[in-house]
Amino acid sequence: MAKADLPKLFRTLAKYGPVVAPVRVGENVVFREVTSLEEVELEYTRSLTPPKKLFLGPQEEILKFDGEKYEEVFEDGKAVLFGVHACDINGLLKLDEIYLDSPQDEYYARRRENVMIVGMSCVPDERCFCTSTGSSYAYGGFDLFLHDIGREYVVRVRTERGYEFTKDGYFKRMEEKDFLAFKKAEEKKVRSIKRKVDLAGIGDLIDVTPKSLWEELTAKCLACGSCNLVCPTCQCYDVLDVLELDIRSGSRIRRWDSCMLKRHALVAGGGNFRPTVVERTANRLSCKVGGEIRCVGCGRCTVYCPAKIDLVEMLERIRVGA
Amino acid sequence: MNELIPKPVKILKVKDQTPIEKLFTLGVKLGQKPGQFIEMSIAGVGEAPVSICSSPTRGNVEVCVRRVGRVTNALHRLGAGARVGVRGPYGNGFPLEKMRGSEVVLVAGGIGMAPVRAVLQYLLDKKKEYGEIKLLYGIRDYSMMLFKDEILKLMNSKACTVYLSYEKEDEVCKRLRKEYPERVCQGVVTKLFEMVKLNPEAHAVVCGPPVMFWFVFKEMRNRGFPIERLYMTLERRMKCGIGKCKHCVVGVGSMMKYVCKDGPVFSGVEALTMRGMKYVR
Ligand SMILES: Cc1cc2nc3c(=O)[nH]c(=O)nc-3n(C[C@H](O)[C@H](O)[C@H](O)COP(=O)(O)OP(=O)(O)OC[C@H]3O[C@@H](n4cnc5c(N)ncnc54)[C@H](O)[C@@H]3O)c2cc1C
Ligand code: SF4
Ligand code: SF4
Ligand code: FES
Repeated sequence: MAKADLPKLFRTLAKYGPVVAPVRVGENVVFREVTSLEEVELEYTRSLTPPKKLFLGPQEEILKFDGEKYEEVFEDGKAVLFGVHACDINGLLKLDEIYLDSPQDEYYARRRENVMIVGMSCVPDERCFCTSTGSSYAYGGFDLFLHDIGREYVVRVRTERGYEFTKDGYFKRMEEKDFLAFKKAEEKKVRSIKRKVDLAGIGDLIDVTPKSLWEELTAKCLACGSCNLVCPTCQCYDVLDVLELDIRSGSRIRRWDSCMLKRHALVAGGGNFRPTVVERTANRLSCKVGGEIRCVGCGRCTVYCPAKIDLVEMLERIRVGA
Repeated sequence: MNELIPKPVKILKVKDQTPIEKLFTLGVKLGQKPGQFIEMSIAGVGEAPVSICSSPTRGNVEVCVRRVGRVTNALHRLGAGARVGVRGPYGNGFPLEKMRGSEVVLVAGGIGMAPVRAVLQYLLDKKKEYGEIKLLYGIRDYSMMLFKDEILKLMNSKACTVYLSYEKEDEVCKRLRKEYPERVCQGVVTKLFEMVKLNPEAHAVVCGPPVMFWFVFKEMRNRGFPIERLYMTLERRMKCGIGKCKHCVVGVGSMMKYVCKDGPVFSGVEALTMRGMKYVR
């Protein structure tokens, strides 16, 4: 489709539900509800918080109780998540593996069903390393994906729901030259991602990394948890109960948690299974790249770390062992 | 079905066990496997994972809870008739089917006696399907012994052989030592291995505080017991109990497991190959 027709697509998408899209706020790009295409940042590198927040809220009520009677709380709502990059879509697929695994998380599952996803090609920078994590291209996990090939978008359709939006006259069948332009644009993108990291067997290397090296790698870490909060694949949550004034009714709330915080593995009596940033960093890296690769190479944890701790540099030093 | 919504369940009976532990009988049957746990919820306070300490062969679910923090203290304030929220059963449980036909050695320390009791009841009820049962139980003193009546009765019975170690001697412990000098001694639980002949064909179940586990593990290994026939439970901070919140993970590098979903029962081999677990020492 021609780029000039994007406002039309936007308007039909908006009929499905509120549109949540990347918006520039100061130095950052964040996902928020928009009412017009003008507000949307079409070319951006990475958003501050990942779009997973639509499926797993930073803080959300999961149930209400009155005495020991528990009732599910769920807001049903359709929405369109517009302008999501391949890495973040792959991040959602990784969260699916956890949250849709039996027994599935009903809140996540229903939102995943209700929210339509429109992907968009990205503008990588020197911190992206998604080609090393196999997440530079989204094979699935979206309804429509818009690839910028200059004056037009190549639109990939993945679902019937997405297909419904491509019936208007401004969508054209792809021709040979469009395929070539698409291929060229993708190749250019992949070539522009210069940062590489070798993850083969890194889990066992993490395992045998001496404490002295861990201490060096984590010396500047503030245990602030920012790296977790910005990560599109972090899955941890914490739960707490909030009581009303009648002290019998209230709600149970869950919120994002961070494995870099001291309390994450704290148990009653003060015992802690990951007492220092050394154990916590080893845990975080194991979780991300130790076994299955659960990192999508978005670079957020490095960009937003106040101590400038670089994930790829850490992994390289772990490989070297010094 | 939304797995995170607890079911309201009535407490049928509460029985003091020690100054800090109580046994709760709940008005629910869950068909659990020994070694599985439930998430117990007190509205407004929170949830806590607790092992089911009764065998499915005995009917209602029982839990033995130590008072240590918010939820457990609130629970201790409840009496018969009160309601709590229950989710579960969760976790893998002990591979009792693998142990069929063989001797089973149960080793318990402290609150670890709770999950061990579920196994013990199960084995006693299915006596014909299993070989000899040995229980090695380590307590601080008599006041801290869980399930006192049941243990004392078993010491006197042929259904299973009970070995007891205590750290501080009191009147009851002294009497027991005099009565059963070949099965009761003063010291930590590993001392009991001097009195027990370990059969390498047996299976072992070990539950207790992390420090105890490693001492028992080493002791049994040194005595030639095959670690692949040894099973233990792990305790970690838990929130969801179903493999989502990732609070409970153990292991480093390529060997990471969820205690709630892959455990809480792990074999000696898993214990040995999962590096993170050794940080506990
Ligand atoms: C699989 C499993 C089985 C258990 N079985 C028993 C049992 O049979 N009897 C018993 O008395 N205790 C058992 N525990 C320990 C029990 O879960 C904790 O003592 C309890 O969670 C403490 O909660 P609290 O709110 O009273 O304490 P607080 O210190 O107020 O804890 C706050 C929160 O921290 C978490 N937490 C604290 N300590 C632990 C811990 N050791 N394990 C997991 N989460 C913790 C809980 O989410 C709790 O809500 C078991 C733990 C696990 C993981
Ligand atoms: S963001 Fe940086 S400083 Fe903060 S916990 Fe993560 S690694 Fe440590
Ligand atoms: S670990 Fe870092 S680079 Fe990898 S997905 Fe998470 S935030 Fe992105
Ligand atoms: S307790 Fe939540 S993942 Fe294990």
